[in-house]
Amino acid sequence: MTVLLLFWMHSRGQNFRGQVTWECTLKRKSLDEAEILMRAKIAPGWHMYALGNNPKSPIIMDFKFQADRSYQLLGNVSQPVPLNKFEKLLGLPVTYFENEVEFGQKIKLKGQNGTIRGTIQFMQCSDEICIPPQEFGFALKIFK
Amino acid sequence: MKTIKDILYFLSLPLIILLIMAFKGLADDKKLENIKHTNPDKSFAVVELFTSEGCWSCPPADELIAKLQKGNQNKKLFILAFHVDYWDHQGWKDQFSKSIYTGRQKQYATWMSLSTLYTPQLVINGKTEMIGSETAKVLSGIQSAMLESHPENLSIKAARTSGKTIQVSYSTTSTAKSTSILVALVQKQASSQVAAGENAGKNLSHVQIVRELQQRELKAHDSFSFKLPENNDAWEIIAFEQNQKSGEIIDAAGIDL
Repeated sequence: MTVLLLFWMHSRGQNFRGQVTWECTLKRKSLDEAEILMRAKIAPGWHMYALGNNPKSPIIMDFKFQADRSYQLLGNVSQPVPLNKFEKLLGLPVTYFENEVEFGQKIKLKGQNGTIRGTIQFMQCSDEICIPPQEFGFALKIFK
Repeated sequence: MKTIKDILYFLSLPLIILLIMAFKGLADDKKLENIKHTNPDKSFAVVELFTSEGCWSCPPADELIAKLQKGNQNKKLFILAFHVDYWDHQGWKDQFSKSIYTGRQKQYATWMSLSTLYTPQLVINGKTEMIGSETAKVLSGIQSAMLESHPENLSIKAARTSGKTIQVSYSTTSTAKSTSILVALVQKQASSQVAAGENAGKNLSHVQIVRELQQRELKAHDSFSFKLPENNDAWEIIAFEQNQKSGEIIDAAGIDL
């Protein structure tokens, strides 16, 4: 019975469950400093690429923030140490994450109300397939 | 005596697994042979692979279609590799990719109610789709398609009219409604150079690359013209009739140039 169930689940594999989901929050650190926290949950069997992969490869991973008078970016997006492996076809090492990862972007608050609008471009692959690059947009309100 | 019994027990499971794998390998090889054999009783199989030079999960799927194409005697096995363009960006471009091929894959996602595009994706006769590297599934799918029966009414002719221009004409006795005729110019073999990394300068080889696709409403006969890109490689024209409501491919024909 369990064996039959396993086979049935496998053959339904084409309706892929396992999209990366994002949760973005703003963590206030002081009167004029905060950090945008962007946490991704990656389904089992999948991985998502990290920042810093070779720009001459098809890998896309990036964060864009719309300029607003209420804040200013401080430095670049930070990420934990990623996993890495060597991709034979590309002939390049690639870095990626599994399970869960949180990215951070420090910002300086300018003492005004406003909204942070961000777009995350990311890519996920399993051992067998890759999904086209996707985009996630978010908006966080700043209250002075 | 007891230890020999233990050793046998210990080895039996891995041995069984090895035997199953070997058997599967042999079964796949047999299917491959069966598919590539000429057989006038078998129906056509139009095999479309959506792939990309930049997709590193694609090589096993690319290799599978290369195996299908090599030494193929079955004139009703049509293989088309469409290179999608969504892996292209500033730092990387698949030289064979076109947005209309991504458009075609999107059309299949609509017809088949799929939740996402992905590579490598393989579609057979516009009706079934699967991961292009799942060998057993692909081979079974092709075999099933070949066992179906279709009225085969499509015939095509191709002639080189000048230098690089090819004139393709078809005629059909099909009376199907809501059906389009699609004609593909297929480059049988090509290689590209890897731009970066340790394999920089090495060649990637590809087969059955669709270089141009034209589509029109199906008529009793019509004619298309193609321009060969600059090279001396081997070419093929593959034409097929596709129902525009369901995506099902109802007839197919091909000709070597």
